Amino acid sequence: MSTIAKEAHTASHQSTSGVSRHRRDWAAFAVIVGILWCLPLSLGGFYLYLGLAVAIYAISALGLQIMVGLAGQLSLGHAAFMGIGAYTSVLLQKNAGVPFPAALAAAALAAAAAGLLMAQLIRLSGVYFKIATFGFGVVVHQILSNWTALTGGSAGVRAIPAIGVLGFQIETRTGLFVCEALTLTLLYALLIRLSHGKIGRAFRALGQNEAAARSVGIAVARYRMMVITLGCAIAGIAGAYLPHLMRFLSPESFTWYESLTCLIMITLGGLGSLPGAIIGAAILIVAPEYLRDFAQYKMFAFGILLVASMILLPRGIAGAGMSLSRGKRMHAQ
Amino acid sequence: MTDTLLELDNVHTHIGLYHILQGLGFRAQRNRITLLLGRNGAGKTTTLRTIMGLWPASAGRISFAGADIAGRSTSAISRLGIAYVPENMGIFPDLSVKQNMLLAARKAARAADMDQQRLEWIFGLFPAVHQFWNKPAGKLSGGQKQMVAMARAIVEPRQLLLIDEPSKGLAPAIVNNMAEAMLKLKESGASILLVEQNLQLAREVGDEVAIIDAGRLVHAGPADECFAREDLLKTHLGLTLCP
Repeated sequence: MSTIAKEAHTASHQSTSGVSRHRRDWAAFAVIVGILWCLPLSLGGFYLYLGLAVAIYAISALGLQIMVGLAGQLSLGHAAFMGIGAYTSVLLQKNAGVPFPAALAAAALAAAAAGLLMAQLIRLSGVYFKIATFGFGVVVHQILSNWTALTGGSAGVRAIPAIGVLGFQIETRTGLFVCEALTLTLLYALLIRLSHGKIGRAFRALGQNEAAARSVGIAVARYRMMVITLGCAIAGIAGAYLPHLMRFLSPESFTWYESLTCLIMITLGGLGSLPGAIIGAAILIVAPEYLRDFAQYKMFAFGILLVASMILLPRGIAGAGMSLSRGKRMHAQ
Repeated sequence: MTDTLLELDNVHTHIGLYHILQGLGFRAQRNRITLLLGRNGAGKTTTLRTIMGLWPASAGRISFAGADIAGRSTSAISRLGIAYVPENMGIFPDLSVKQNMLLAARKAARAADMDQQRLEWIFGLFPAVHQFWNKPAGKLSGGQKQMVAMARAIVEPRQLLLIDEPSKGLAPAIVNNMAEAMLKLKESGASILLVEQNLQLAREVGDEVAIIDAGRLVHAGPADECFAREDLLKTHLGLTLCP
């Protein structure tokens, strides 16, 4: 860093006595990834199953977080892209014998292509775009449900092939967990890098003040398309793992209800926060498993949780955690 | 005129059903501070936003450095060398001051890539930018945010700055700082089109004046002449000058 930038950096540190957002994000990364890798593997059994489900939805929530939380592009059809990824991956493995890594890449590409198609709707302004994303999700669900010859329709796809990587067949939950956790760790790290780089700054600017973003020379339409495509590709990657956990694939895993659940995950965790997306996914996956007796009230409880978090924790759990640690630091001084 | 940097010719702008600019035409000269004055609702902010492409002109020609920019995207207009400081400052509140600056420094990916000499000059003009470099811009006071907005606009050399009411709601000391900064910017070769209701600031910095009313030009000329004519100010701005 040159003298001037370094001086400014120091001056700012003196004035805020704070840790930079960059360092804070990597610290949160270390903690979350540490818990992700240690807890399910050490506890095993049912906890490993929970870890698998959390990892899948955490990946999906990260994709939605960069679209909605960072760049302000609200999507009400996110689960549809998980569905596109899931069917692309499974059908390629099952019908064409494509190895899992290639099928995973194809899932991301197919979801990205569908995302790019949906991104064309950005010409619609404001609320119309959001409604159109909901419509897009419904259309994809209808295609998955009714194109019986390809997808098996509502009967779904059974006999999901095991994941094969470099000649090894991964048939245990532990093996599957290692693949998922690796994917999540890698994606999370890449997204931290991206969010602190030029593209991430442009995404945040777009989400905070679109007119000002245009005025500083950001090609808003291009960045909106980019973030929607990227978010959908990540959902496709999450979707590719889902059938391997469920051992079954059905369109009912990709309805508007799942899209809404993903939105609640990022809102509860903290809009704009990558660790928040993972925390939100963990809470919304784990809590219902321990409240199965009240399963019929699940959506009611999610609704209450969403409203309560918006009122009590408008910046989500991650935002509340940050405020708490900032308060402690100031108190210590 | 050979030194005309910006020229609006018969520009019309509609916002929804409203016809705001109704055949507006005026010129801003190179290396001068042109004041765009008028009563509330005259169309001053609409003029700046139309030049910037945020509210596209429905008819007319906007020429900047000889090129017709009407119909171009805002980002393309910005890349031509026009910066806009809106009335609400257009700060990205969750981004740090550094990140706000980096967004406008198109060639720099990191602070270290920015033009360090220019950065030093900017820190001299707006000390708050230096002081709060890593602080979220949303946490700054109104005056500090205005400094960040101005600093961001000039982080790269620009030919023309469109500035909308920079003194609004600010303490006199900060308004003086703004005036000094604008004069130094002019010295550096930049041109400014300034919307300003604070007559004291306008007098201090303005070279030329364009007064608009109901979306049309009603007077244009040197600032000194304009401010000497009480009838003009009273008729078009509703002002009575104090002795």
